[in-house]
Amino acid sequence: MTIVRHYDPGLRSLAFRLLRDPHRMDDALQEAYVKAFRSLPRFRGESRLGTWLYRIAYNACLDELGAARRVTPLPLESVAERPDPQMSVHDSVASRSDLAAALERLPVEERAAVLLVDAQGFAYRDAAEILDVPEGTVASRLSRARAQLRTALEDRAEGAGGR
Amino acid sequence: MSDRRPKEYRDRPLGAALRELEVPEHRPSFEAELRRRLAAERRAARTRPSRVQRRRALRVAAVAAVAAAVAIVAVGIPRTEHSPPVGPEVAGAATIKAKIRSALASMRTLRGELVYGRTGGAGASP
Repeated sequence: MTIVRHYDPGLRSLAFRLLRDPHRMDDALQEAYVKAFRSLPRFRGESRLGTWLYRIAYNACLDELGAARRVTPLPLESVAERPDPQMSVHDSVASRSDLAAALERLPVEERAAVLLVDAQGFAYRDAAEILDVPEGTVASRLSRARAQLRTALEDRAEGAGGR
Repeated sequence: MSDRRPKEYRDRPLGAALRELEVPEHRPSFEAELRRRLAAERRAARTRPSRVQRRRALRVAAVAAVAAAVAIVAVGIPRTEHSPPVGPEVAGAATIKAKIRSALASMRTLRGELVYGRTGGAGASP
């Protein structure tokens, strides 16, 4: 329970943003914690405990969503890594609900990538392990997610400014 | 060889904004429910055969299978009375006597090969 208490806030945040429902969040995390307990004797410490636990929780969320896990990774060359420096997120965020709504419109894989790396501070390598994809795929998902979040927020900001 | 690892970048303002989004607490019964499920898992784990026990059982089964295969090869397929004879047929004494009797009766030439074995005794192939 100590491990659960330590990682629960971050896992709750990820699960809620992926599932968009507090009941489903609770169900997925119950499953994740039970699965983690069951496979704890097989945990060899090859990855960090947090990464391992997040991976179990992410898979539990995917099971809860019934989402297809197959995705088509973008080639690295097509990834524009840095966003437009002219644009500041805080400037464009009219309200938290706008960001939440923009986030909800993202595909679940992109949402997970941006939440893990930008919100929770995971390294690309750890995020790749959690999402079970190559690091390049994490980068491409992040790029798309950031671009879409910024576009959505920019539109909202322009709409508010034009009124 | 070129480094194919993507350069890491973290969008900190976006991350900060995402962290500010509200996250609901668990339902009040969540922890009690989880404790109950974990206790059930502990009970099940005690009755479930351990990995060591499962491995030992597998090893015993594998040794038994190998021993059975060796035994079959060593003993061979058991022959029965109904098994067809292999090689030239050896005539029994009664057959030889009958052939001699019929040859003498018709005064024909009797031709045959007498085979004598130390352990098996005499036999003939008509």
